[in-house]
Amino acid sequence: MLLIFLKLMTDDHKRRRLLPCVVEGDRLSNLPESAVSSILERLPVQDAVRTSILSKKWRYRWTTMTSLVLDKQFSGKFAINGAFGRNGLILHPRPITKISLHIPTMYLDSFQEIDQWMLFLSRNSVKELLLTNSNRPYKLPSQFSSCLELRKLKLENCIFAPPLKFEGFPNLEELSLKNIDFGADSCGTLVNLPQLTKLNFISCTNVHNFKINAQKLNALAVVTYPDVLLFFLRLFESPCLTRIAVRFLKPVEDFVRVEMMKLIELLSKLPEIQSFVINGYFLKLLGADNIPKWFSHAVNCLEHLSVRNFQYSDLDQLRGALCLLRNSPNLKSLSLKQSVGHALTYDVEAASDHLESPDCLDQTLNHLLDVDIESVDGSRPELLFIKLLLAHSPSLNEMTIRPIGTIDASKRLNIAKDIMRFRRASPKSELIYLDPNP
Amino acid sequence: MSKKTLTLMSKDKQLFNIEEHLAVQSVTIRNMVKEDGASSVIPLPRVDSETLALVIEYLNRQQAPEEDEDYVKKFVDERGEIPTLLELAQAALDLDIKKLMDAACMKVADLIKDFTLEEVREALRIENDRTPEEEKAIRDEFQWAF
Repeated sequence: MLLIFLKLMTDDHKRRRLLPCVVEGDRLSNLPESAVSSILERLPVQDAVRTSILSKKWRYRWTTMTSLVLDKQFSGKFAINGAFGRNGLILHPRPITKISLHIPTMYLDSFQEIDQWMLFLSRNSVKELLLTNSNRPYKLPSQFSSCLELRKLKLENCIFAPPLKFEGFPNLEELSLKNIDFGADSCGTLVNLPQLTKLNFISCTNVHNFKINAQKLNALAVVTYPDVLLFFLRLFESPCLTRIAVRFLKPVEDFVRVEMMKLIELLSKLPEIQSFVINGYFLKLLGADNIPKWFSHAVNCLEHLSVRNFQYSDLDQLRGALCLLRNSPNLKSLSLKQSVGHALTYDVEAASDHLESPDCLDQTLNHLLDVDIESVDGSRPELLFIKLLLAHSPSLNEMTIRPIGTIDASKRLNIAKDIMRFRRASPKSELIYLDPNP
Repeated sequence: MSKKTLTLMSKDKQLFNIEEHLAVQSVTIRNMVKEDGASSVIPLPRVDSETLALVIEYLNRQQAPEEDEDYVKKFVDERGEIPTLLELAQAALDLDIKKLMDAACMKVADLIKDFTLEEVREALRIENDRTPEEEKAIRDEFQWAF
């Protein structure tokens, strides 16, 4: 878009006429070509095509794109016309290396056109495919498994039952799966993903049929019901894994002890894990009665711990959090975000008593530098937890407190007064008390 | 991690300090540091001080890797002016900071896609050099896009 602008800039009188008040116009004139291309490639395809009308120079510019975004609006129009692949798009002169495709909500007789796209893409050595689907689940055609050049793949609401002979995607680096059904009666083929470093796995079904071999996996994020967690434990053992995020969709209720122990054992054996992001429901698992106070091995590499939807008043979650703190001697940063609501259903007294008992955290957090506490509402267990952290962190550099927006100014002031009184083990620690986000 | 500090100089000769381990998120700076230790001031002749201040703010963020994507998205969202975003995209490209550059370009694309053609021309200061006939011919060819 800026090429023409460039041309315009050289024409001084025009510039004055067209841009009477633009003083900093020249700032843009040397914007590199690749940034412009980069912006163009992020436009939905119909908008990119529309740029051909902007000016003469722009006429063919869009055809140099190697990346296409077929968003909701585009897919809607095409599904109506019944011509996803026609209109010259498939005759697009450059190979498509990157594509975002959306399957719209409207009634479709079949997914024939999407299948055609898949065939087209597999022949085009597509490198990046982002498929979103707000229709019924889409069964990926067999051609899909021949997209061997894929580097980045994101699928939503699909049925993916890899054929028996499928060996994997040899170049795939990033994989994101959301609402994927791996097929109840599929053969559970082992999929080799030798280059995979990042895997996101959100609310999938028939997970037992998802078997992958990914030796380079570095970051794993799982959103799941607790009962299928076991299928992921294998992935936890990937040798290069340093970042794990697990979010349970509901609390753990009837998790058997054996399974729980397996998890603890794994956690304490994770040799390289540096960053761990979990939610309160997951913490409940570590707070149960039969969990040992000390793991057989401390989680030595863990530097960053983040707990989302944490409920300070839930004794199980609280014990889970303390258990992780106790077993992570090298923790450097801690981030906690309180879950909103439901506090009444928990026993605030029991949680507060636990926090006030002298041996609730019999360990100094020697390496803890940064603490970030979100959605602070001044409940007693929460304040006691903050007090505990301040008293146990001799190296603390910064603690950031972010009060929740729903409390009024005087309440916020009272929380600040309370926190100010807490003794701090670190003389150099700075307390940052932020205004709530508007 | 050492806490060595680097000094960056903007186009308008303003100086900015940043810890080296944060600065090397920029591949360009990382290469400079590798090559000659970059002991003195690093000049960035194409980045103005306003933009450099933003880049520094971004490099100084303290985010967990898992939350980084949300952060960078919010970071560019808060600076929703096209000229600022284009400058930021250029700086991120020059300095080779991929995530920032991706997010800034994505934001510009997001803003532009809801614009009418006239608005796109205005935002990017493109002169319309087409006759109405030419324009109609293109509209007919790509009917589905208009």
